[in-house]
Amino acid sequence: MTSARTDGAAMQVPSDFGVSEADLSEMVVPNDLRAAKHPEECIMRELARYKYGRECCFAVRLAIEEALTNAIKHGNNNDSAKSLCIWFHVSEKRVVVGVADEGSGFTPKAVPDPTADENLERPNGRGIMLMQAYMTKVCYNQTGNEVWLLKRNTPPGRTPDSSKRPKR
Amino acid sequence: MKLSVEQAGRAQIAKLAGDMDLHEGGQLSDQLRAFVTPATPHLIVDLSDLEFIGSTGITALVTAHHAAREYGGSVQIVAPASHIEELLRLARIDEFIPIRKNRADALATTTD
Repeated sequence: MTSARTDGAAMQVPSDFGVSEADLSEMVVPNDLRAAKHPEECIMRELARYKYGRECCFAVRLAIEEALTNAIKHGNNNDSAKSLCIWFHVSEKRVVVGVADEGSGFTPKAVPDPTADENLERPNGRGIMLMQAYMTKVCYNQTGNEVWLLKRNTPPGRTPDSSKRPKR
Repeated sequence: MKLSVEQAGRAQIAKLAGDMDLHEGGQLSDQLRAFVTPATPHLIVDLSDLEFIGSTGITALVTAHHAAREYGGSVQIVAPASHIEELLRLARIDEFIPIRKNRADALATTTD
């Protein structure tokens, strides 16, 4: 398995995610929402194989789709000539997903808070907030063109990571 | 995902059922916005059989809300599953798009 992104840079799974590069599966897909469905389906099949609960499955699917949508639309600027690189690892304890685009990156902290009063009725801008609310951890590389998602498996009946939800 | 619509007075009731796929959210914005007209300025979105929604689906609801407001109307959401209601409340969407238990409650507010 190669550990290089499509732009040649080295991918960097965060050291506190509990997995190494050797644990990760890799897929490269065209920059297209329909094509991006394939790695999502592979990952969700793995969650089913490990019997993850409904809440975890919803949370992981939500975060994956937000990461993919952001990479396709904003990172790769909807350019069909570009590609995405997706890495993933699923075990009974955790799900780790990495998504890299070929864009020049961005500053996650500069994205306005969509739950702030002045931003509530904006049509867009909720993807990062949702990833952060539903995942155990979300990490971007320094450039901002690679995101890593960690979801620790939780027992059924317990709302996962509810303590991380934005306070109202 | 299946989308069906029926008219009830000055409201259109749009029912979203199944799974909203990654590429469907973007199309939904145009579809919901088209249901809002001067004659039917109110849109009731029935989510009782919807299993998944992401931020693109929320964008579609917010876009429809802006269109409805231009005509003096409204958007309301009916009976989302608990995990979807939680997501909508997390994003504070319920603060300007009311969530109702059933269609009757939503329709009662559209007879103006």
